[in-house]
Amino acid sequence: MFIRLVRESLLVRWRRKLAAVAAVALGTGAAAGLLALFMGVGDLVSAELRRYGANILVTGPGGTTLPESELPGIKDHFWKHQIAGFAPFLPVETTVNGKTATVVGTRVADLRTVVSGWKIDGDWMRAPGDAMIGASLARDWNARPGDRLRVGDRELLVRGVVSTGGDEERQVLVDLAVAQAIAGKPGRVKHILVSAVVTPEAELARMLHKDDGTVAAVIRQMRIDPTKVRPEVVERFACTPYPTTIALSIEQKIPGARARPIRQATETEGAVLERVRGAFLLLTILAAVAGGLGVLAAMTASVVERRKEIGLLKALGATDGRVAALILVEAAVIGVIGGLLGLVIGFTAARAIGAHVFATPPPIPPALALLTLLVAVAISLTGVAWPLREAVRMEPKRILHEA
Amino acid sequence: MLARIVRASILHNRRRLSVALAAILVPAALVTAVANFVLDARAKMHRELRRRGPNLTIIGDVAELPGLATRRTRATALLPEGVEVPVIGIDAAARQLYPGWRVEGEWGCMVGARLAERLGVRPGERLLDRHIDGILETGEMEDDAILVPRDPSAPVERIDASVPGTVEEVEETARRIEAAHPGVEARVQRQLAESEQALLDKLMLTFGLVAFLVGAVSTLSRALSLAAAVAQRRHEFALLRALGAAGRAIVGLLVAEMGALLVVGVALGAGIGLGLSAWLAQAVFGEDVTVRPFAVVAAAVACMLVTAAAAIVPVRRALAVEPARVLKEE
Repeated sequence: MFIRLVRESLLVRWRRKLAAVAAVALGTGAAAGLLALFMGVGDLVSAELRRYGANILVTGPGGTTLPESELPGIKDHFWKHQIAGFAPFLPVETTVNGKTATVVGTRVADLRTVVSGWKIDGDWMRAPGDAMIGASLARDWNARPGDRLRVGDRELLVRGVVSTGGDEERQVLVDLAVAQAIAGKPGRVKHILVSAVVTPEAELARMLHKDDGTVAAVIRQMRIDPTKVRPEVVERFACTPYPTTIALSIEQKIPGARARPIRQATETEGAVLERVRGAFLLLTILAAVAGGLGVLAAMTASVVERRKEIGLLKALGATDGRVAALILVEAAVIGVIGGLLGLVIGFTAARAIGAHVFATPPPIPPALALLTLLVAVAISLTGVAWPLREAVRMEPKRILHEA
Repeated sequence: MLARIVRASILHNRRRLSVALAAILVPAALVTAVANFVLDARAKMHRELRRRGPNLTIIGDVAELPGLATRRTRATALLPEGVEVPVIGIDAAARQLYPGWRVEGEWGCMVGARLAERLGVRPGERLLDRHIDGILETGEMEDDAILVPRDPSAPVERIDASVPGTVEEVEETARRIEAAHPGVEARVQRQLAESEQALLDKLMLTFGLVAFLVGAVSTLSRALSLAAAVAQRRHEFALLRALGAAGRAIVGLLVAEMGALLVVGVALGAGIGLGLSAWLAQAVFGEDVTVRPFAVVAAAVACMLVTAAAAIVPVRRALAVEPARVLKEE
């Protein structure tokens, strides 16, 4: 009987219910979508910031070179998933077109994993016989893509002219093997630029409640002698991808290597990330409040307009409990249907935004979905509770006679 | 007469009034807050990103520094052990220019971290007749150098500058500097400048979409309760028509009522919203918000459209039915 009542009420007056379901779906959708975006946005922005370029510099011991054969080790240690890319370099002074210049050997496919935003007039180099020339040098020498360069005793084809704003503007980029042959250092590299996804060490300063100088001392101590550092800090270091942690991990993997975080790159990212996260969190809260208020209003309205029905039920002998149960079950059903609909809408929107803006959609944690659904149902029930109490308390005769 | 009816109608039913007012006030406040915050966020995010370091390098010296900048000089010093190390002179502005540099001890005369490790010097000690204020770790070539406050008479090697603006604007600045100072080379740090702009564009697109979502949800869900409030007044409209009021008069009454509510609701909501956006900006950026009038206009237009859309269907339905039937229904 009870089930039939609920079913009839939902099916017969489905158009009225539709408004309530729509309100719940909208509210839940906005909150769930933004929550999902918020959970993922940190990673998305941090991956985006990684495109700024390298943030760890690996060099040989005391200015010497490292064997090229050790390179795969950079992506093969505990923090390998944090390594977005790396590129080896071997600079060598030699004669180019009769003048002395710095020629830098690199592997172009690797190079493109650690740099972005380089302006190339022409093309990236492709074959070992290709070269790229810095814009500043190119201007001095009047060199253009397609020209031939005499580097040492070889003839190389200039594929492109690069503008970077950095030292590369005064250099000639060639294939690593070419530079190794010119320098007479086969299989060796001078330094490696690594692009890693890191947690800024400024976070450590907050945790320790210390200023940057003290934190710098702690981090230096970590490098020299971890046994003298407080155990909780060591533990924190071991389980957080701080730049120093990753640098130490690389040093352990490659014998003799010295890995140093490039501070300007690793530390300023933290501030940007924090701002983005903060903005998203607050916008999410606003959306949740807006959604919650909407659901509340819609559910309240749905009971208020059914006061007569409630009066009639009571006049026919239904107990207060019965009536309340009917309305609450209905609210729960609306909450669940609207909530599920909202989850689908919200998560689809979040993934669409994530995919469109950042190229990778944010992951959707199932716990988040469940929590959002529960909150949606809870708000739906709260929305009906107050007008329901009023309606149930009223004498049926008065409600039926009213208006 | 109309004014009296409107006044009476608004004031008579307090409960209905509060529902209708909330239906306008809440979205007005939310739309104003989110729109104002997001419109303002671009400039603030840009400033935040600009703290990532210099985006313009000038090889040579120019008289007028663009934006936040430091001149750099370069000399060498001979260590007692017979090794030459670079000595780099920088201005006080370097501290703001390179916020990522880590200093153990004090700013001033600093020894690079790698060099300090090799020599075993600590802050407070002396090196080459200089008092060492701090150990500097940058992860770059400065780690092998000694950094000192710049000697104004020494020749400038280069200038590092942080210039606000898009990549194009920074490039324009670089071109202007090169044109004004023959022999000087101005290089744009492309990697920084370009990825900065890309990130900014992406963030603003996301924030914009999110703002739109918040606005849509808050106005749409409120439209539902507004529509319900109008629908509930079927009897009143029927009664008015039975007493001889024309359909247009009823619509006019409703428009006047809604108009009054809109003015009050939007004014209050915009005030609350601006306060809210000021709080948001303070919480996220630690800065005051700049009021963007467009945000208030957007909120007003959104509320107006939604109110009109919410009222049209129930009013048309109420007017289409014969008054007697509506009244008899009870």
